[in-house]
Amino acid sequence: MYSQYRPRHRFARILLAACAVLTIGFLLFPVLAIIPMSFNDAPRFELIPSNPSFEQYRRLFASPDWMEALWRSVRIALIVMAAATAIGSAAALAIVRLPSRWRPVVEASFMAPQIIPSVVIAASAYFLFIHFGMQGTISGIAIMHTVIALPFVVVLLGGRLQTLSPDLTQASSNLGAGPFRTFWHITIPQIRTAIVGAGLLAFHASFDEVVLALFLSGARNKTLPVKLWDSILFEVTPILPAISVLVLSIPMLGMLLLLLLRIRRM
Amino acid sequence: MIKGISRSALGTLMLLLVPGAFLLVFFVVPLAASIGASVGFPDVSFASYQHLFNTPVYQSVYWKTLRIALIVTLICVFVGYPCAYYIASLRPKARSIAIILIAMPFMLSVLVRNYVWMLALQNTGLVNRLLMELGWLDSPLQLMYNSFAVTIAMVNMLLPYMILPVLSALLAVPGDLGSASTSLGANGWRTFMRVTLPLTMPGIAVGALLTFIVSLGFYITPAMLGGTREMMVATLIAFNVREVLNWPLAFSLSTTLLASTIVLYMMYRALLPQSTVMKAV
Repeated sequence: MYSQYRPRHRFARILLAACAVLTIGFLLFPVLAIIPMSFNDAPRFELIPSNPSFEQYRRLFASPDWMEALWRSVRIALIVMAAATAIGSAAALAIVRLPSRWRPVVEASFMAPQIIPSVVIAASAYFLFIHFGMQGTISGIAIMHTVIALPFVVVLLGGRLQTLSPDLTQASSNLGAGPFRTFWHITIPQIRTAIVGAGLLAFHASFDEVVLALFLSGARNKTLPVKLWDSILFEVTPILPAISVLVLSIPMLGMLLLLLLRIRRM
Repeated sequence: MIKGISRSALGTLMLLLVPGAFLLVFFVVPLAASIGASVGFPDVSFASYQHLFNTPVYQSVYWKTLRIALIVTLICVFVGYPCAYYIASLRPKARSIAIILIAMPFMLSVLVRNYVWMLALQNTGLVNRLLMELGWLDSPLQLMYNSFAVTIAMVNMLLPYMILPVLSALLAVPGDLGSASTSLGANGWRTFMRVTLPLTMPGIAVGALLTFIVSLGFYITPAMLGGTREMMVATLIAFNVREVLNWPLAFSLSTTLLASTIVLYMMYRALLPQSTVMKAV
């Protein structure tokens, strides 16, 4: 049984498939280009590195500057992961319980940080942070990263919570459990994977964030993306591809973790 | 217990207390302060807006931003639709692989994606080298620091925002509509024009609006690939905040961007089918 979208003419089928393959190839081009580049002695476009070496990686791990920025980014992202997951879960739990009249408004407000341009958010935070002495601090970056990570958590957990059957919570409270006990023993076990996924997304949202960090990090507290930005625009760093692959592998590991969790559940 | 409010409603409000306060203090208040600063609060004046709308340089930045956002959105519609259509025709397993491939670039840092385009479009970059080796070109083309580079890289980054909503619209069309149309004598093209396309129009609208909203506020790509000539509103805001510290101008620019984003976002929310509100942005 073929899909209704399968063209009957052979020519149309081939044309359509070619369009799609080209489009996906175009989408994947940066990913496919950067990985072999990182295993070469210098950034060059080659499918198979002509001078294969781990030189870039060696220099990356030997550079105290890059390592410091990397750890700073990891630290900030961990704070954001914890804060955004906690705050976002509360928001998602509240949103699914709201009456339908209020729900769209509240939901749209929590999604807004993802839609409003980062530059607008960054400029306004910069303005206020200067007044309150938070400019250039790690906590300032972490707070604003939490704001922009919230939508990811709210979408993911909200979507999961909507699919839960209310019968179980009802049964739990009928059996005499209070709301906290019900939440801990009934709701949490059902949304565990979604919570882990939301946390990972929040981590990535912060770890990869450039614009807010660029405005708020100051000269002392540069995050990894800010340092990447500086080196792309103002110096020639042949180790950039290695850093990119390192950064790429972190969300990959996260995906793997999610996959393992899912397999364990099955 | 408070009269008139049930226990569960009180619980919901308490759940919302911390997230609401957080969002208010660190998101709404700064934005409100920036709007205030744009009119020079507390001595309200619209001088910065007048300056903005009467200076040809700033007008041209607005037009450039609108033009690039529109072109990017159109390209995404025409490139993204056939791709989504093909993916919709695949069997479920192949379809999920295709979706993973489309989502994959999101894992690569935005900076790195732009960096790859920089390396590809340079005078000594991949594209020029290929064209010269093929003998189609004697001297390298200037592909960087213009709207061409910005458009290519933006399409590359925004296509998934177009493909995924269109794909979900295509998959929501009941399978028997196509066969009904065919059995009534319509050919494939006619079925597409009269049945599939009208039914997936909301998906196209959602994807196009999302692409347009996101591209209006693009900062990194124009800053890296556009050079100084291809300024967009976002790059101009950053320039005024970080380089010249012209707060009133920066904030009147950002307020116009904020206002247009909010209006478009409200349109977008109104367009979303009710059932998918939670799933999409």
